[in-house]
Amino acid sequence: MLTPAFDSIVDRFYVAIDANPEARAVFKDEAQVARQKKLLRSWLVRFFAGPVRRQLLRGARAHRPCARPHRAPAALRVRVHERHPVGADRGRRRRGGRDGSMPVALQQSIHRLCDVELAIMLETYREDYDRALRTAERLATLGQFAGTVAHEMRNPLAVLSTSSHLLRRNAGDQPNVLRHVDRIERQIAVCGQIVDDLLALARDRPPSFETVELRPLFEFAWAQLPGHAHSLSLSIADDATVLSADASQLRQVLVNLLQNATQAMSEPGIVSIEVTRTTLGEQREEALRIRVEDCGEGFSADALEHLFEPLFTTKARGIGLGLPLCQRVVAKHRGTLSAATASRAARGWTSSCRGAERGVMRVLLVDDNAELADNLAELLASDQTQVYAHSDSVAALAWGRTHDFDTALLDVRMPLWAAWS
Amino acid sequence: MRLLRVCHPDARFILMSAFTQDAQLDPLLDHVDAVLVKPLDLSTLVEALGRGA
Repeated sequence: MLTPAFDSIVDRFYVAIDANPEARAVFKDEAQVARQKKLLRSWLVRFFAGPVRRQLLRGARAHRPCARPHRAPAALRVRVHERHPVGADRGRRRRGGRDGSMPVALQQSIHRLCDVELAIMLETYREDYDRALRTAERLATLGQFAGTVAHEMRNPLAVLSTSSHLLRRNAGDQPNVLRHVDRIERQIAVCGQIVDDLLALARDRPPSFETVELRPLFEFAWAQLPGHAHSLSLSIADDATVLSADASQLRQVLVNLLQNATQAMSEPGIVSIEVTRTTLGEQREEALRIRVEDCGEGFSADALEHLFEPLFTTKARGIGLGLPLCQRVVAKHRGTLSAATASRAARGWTSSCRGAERGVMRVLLVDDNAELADNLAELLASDQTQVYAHSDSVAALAWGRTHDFDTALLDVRMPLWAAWS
Repeated sequence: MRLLRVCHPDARFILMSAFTQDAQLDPLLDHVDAVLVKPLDLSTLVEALGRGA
């Protein structure tokens, strides 16, 4: 996919170098620049092709110091790594450390390759990545105070709830009073739901997987939505009746989606749920697709763009937390949640869950202390957990680019590891 | 790590460090799910992973 872009990347790289007189002086003539370009392009091709080959790294040319700040082409919006401290031990720079570590110059060369690769990835995925980061930051910020607020609200809500119960008991047969008590209790339920959402936001607990029968779960979630005149149409394929998932979290997602569906239809209508087996991702992993559809007015283009952003809502009573929470839960089940407006004014939610179906968590474990990596791998490995341990950061990076995993357990300070900066 | 983060935006990232200043990082600000101090407390590790081992 990226191959057609390599030529322009290489050209921009050398345009940036050419702009610096000192850097330009390093190259003798155009023929040498052409050779350098050819070499860089071949590196890019091999670097993206799969795992890094040690033979390739050994043959890598040392980066020429050009007194230019370590910065890849500005046009690619590169964030650079810090230079490794260059010590006085010149032998180590050429040969590597006695412990077998790589020469500093080679490390720097690989750093620059990583910069280019990161630049391409950031450019390719920048929009989606920025949006995901913004959502995560808003959820995190909200979560910090949401828990406190939610706990503080529970006490007065408990008082309101018990008082309404006492009111109902003492109201006798006064219909006017009972009507108001009904209203109070409905609003208490709404507040309770908001508190539950806020607490779920603050907790962000990992799912606890178990085998879940889907039909009873759907019916239970539907029963949680009183006070509407809609009906439910449930269609579950024979090979998609169970899912390994966190039952309470999945129920939370379903209640949210079904509630949205019922509130979207002003006239009595049908909410349909369809469950089918499917595959997801390049590795075509087994998954279930759960589609929730109603006959509402559909989403506007603006709403579709912002549906999963915290605090975005199209409802007068909503606070815009339900869908971001649903999306986060589905993501923890290694799935995706998407919304669409179909023809005939129908609108639908599609949630696909995979991985969780097998209940196996894949952990990428990286620590340059090989013994510690081995120990942790042995401790963590089980029927439910597959551990891929690496003590070589370059090999781990190459593996991580081309393989899927659920959790990365990473040592912070390792050679060639740009950490979080 | 940023490369892996870009490739796997939905994955959980847990950092391990022997340096206390690393452990004092705010996981939320640094887009990681947890920062664990070495030597690792296994119960904390298992809790961070969200899975019995």
